[in-house]
Amino acid sequence: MAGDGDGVLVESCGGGGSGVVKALYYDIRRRFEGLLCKLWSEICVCSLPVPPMLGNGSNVDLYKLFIVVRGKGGYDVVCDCKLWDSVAEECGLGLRVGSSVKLVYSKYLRALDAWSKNVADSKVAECGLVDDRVKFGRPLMEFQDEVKGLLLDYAEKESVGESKGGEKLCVKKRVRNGGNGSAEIMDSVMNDYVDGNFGNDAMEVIREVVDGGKESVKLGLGVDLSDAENSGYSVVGLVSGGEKSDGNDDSGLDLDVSGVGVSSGRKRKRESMSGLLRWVSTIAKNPADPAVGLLPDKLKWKSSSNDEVWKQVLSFREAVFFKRSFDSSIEQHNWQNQRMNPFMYDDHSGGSYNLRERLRHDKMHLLAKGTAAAQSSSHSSTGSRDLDRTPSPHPRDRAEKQVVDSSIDGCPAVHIPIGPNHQAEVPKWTGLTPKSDSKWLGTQIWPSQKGNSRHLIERDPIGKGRQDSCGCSVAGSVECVRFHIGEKRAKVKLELGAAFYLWNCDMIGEEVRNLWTNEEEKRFKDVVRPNPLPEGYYFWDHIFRSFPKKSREDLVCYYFNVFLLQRRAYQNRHTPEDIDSDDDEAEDGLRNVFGYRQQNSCCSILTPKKAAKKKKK
Amino acid sequence: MRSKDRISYFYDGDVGSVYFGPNHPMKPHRLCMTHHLVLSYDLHKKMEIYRPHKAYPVELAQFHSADYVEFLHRITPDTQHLFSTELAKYNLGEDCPVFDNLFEFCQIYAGGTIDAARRLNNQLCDIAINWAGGLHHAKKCEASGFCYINDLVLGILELLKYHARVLYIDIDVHHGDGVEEAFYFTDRVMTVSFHKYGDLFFPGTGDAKEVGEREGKYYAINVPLKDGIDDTSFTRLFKTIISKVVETYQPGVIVLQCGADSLAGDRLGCFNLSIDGHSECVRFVKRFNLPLLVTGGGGYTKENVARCWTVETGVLLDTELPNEIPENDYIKYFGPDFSLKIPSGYIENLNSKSYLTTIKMQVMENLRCIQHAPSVQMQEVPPDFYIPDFDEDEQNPDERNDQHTQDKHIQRDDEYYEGDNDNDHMDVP
Repeated sequence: MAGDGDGVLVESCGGGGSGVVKALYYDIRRRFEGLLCKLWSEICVCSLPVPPMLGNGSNVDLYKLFIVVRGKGGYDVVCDCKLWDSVAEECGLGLRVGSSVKLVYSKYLRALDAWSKNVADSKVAECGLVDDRVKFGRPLMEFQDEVKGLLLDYAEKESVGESKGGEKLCVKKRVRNGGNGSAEIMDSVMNDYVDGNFGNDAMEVIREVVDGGKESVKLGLGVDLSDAENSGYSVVGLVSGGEKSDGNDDSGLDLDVSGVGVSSGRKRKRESMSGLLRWVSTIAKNPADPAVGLLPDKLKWKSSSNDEVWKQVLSFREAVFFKRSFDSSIEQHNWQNQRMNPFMYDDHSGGSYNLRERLRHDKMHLLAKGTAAAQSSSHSSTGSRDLDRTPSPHPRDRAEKQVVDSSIDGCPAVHIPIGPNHQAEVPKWTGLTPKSDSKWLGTQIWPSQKGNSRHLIERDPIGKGRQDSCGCSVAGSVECVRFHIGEKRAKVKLELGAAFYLWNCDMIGEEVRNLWTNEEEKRFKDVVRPNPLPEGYYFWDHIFRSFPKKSREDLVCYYFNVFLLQRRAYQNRHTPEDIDSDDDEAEDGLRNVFGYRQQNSCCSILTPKKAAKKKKK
Repeated sequence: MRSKDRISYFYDGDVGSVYFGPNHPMKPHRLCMTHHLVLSYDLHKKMEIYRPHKAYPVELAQFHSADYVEFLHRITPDTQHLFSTELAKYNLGEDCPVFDNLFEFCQIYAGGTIDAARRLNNQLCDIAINWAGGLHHAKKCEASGFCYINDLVLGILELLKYHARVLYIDIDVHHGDGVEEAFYFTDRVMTVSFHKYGDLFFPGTGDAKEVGEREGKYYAINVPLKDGIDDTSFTRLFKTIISKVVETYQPGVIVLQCGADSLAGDRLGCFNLSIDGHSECVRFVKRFNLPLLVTGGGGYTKENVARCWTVETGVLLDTELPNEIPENDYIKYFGPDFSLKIPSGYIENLNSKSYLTTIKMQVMENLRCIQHAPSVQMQEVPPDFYIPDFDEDEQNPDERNDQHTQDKHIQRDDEYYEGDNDNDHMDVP
């Protein structure tokens, strides 16, 4: 795509007149279609073939169709006035294909309509990063006007206008995508357009505005103002843009607007801006570039001349920061709670232009930092896990469990991932409840429906505890305990009837021994605890091999009901101070079997416990 | 001699023999022990016990992606080496191993919660209990933290068919991330999770700042706690927040996840709660007299899990259980003192009063945002809706006065308290 874009641009620069217009038109059309696809994937429409073909074999130019319909007042108007035939004609699709064209439109472009309407009404659901931005997503109408204007510009062969036009287009597309509600898609679209290479400094800045996050947003805005100041040029567009929006995120728009103003013929002004833009873009490309040099300490700013580009930018940035810190509106509150994308903090990008690569690179970077400072940069390995994982089939899902080293609250946080792959679909409450369905309410086991044992049951008070005394000759002896357990068991069995077996109560406790021979029991014991115990020995590896005839379930059952119970009984009597509250080889086992390592992430539930906690009272 | 509430209790004897694998801390055998202890206390006589149906894949796909359910259905320990890509994709392996009967196990516990929800929907019971459920970490397209299928989400989706608003409360030591995530965008489910947060504790989510998004903004409440919280502070915080939540949100039904890993001495937990403290939360929620679905959850010290859930079954049945565990086949597991209650833990409580106050204030602040959002339909209030007056009268009068006066001071201090010099947001390693 990058190559294509270059080609078009070169051609359009070199050529003139209609050639330029045509080339550029195709470029725009191609982008329009690409954008449409993105929109579809955003709103879960399966991809449609582009360009669509009519029954008569002609390809529909979606972009043109869109413009034409828009020109006639939109889909509804065209429908109402039955203008589809003339639309088809205007699009060069031949006569009497109005209904097919209408179909194509409703299939392909209605979503875009609806979407642009939403944006116009600011109804797009607010969503983290985007919720502010949505407000600035301009109605598509405006975009169309711009593009039309752009075409006219080209017809007049204004080379300045040309590059500015390209920029404008891109900005608009960005804004539209921003409105789409997903930072990631914005990122990728940006990528495409950046790769498209408009060869324009301002473009770079805008990209920075998008991907560099707040800092750069401010930079972008700074560019506008300082430029305006420098040139003494009154940027009407800027003011009107500023009216529309009161946050910072609109700076891209502001820039654009001012750019429009500048590009409309005043080449001199544009040059003054381009110097600044070039500076910013150099920084953006490679902040570590020695050519940029070191910025002096803040205290020394005063001593530098106002002509210094960096000073204009930084002063403005400072002013914006200052202003905002006094802004205590809800807006501000939202802004703080807003979810940050990792790439917003990219400020060491190397020379790479590919945002995705940069993102990756940065995650890696974070990862490296994380292991170095194991405690502070905690969630890095979560990030790495995500990287390793197969990419989500829904590219618009927010990057899973983003790693954010938020500089705002200083607290690394794992965020709840959002997207169609994460949230449940909750229907709207209608107040109507479905008819009751007796299916799948469970099978009643107790009280047994046919059983008549209830008279037996209620003799003892419910919830009776263990009796302290009994009539046994040696109370508390092994025999005594065994007797009472057996007694209780018989009673339970009698009471429960069929339920006793349905709940597998016959496979509980030391009764399970009856299914095992003495020889087997001895073998089991030997396999579990051979003497001497080899290093790193895990009896389960061996136990299945030692009892080929026993099912896994039998072995597990014996293990929990007999082996462990007996071991516990032994501990109760002989080492009551050192009860192994669980059955396993505790920490050693965990460590090896579950890849339990020195963990510095929260991606496993097996979090290390502090040694103190293991001590039992 | 029935409890005045009709209680449905779900149990399938087959879960007891499910085995996650050697040395895996999650032991479904604890369910078998719990059930047996319930039986030995004769609690079955006060309730109806059901065997859940095994949830069908299509039911599981009401929340989970069909491909994930299909994969869980298909995978076995013997074939898993052929599917390493999928295993990684669905996060199966380390924490969530593939074991024999994995899918059946999921079907049983998910079926239990779904059936429980359906019985509540049809007003066949007032309280439904499924100790096998509560696997709150499972995500739409992947397993997580020993959880494969998120039965809570499935149960809540079922309840949403009959109720405009469902309140989900989670007292597992881990954040209830799967449920929060599933309902992050909706105001029809409010999720409230009390959990340990920080120090890289799993799953890493659950900051108080996570409040939901879009329509669901402010409908996710997180109460992040630090190591060693004790009964007094926990129940106090719990009651304050939950009574405010119920008052504000007015749910039609409550789902309570009773993960027992928040108990003292849990193998993976780090709180100091005794069974009394833990079950006090259950008692408090029961007193709202709303339809209630109670599930299990975490809990990795088996005997304590069995103890805790037995006590809580008793609480739901309004039955005080004697401390001496009756004879039963598993009694030896409860040695050496064979008593039902466990003492509180002795880990240092890192939750300072001011920290807890800050958290509480933050939650209350978010709740106030809901009161200003009239978009939620609040008409549907069940007739027997009742909010217990939670005031400090229940508490020991000496302590109450003491805490009351202290709190006054603290709150005044806290007006300027931004959490940078206390152990508030920063997790000191």
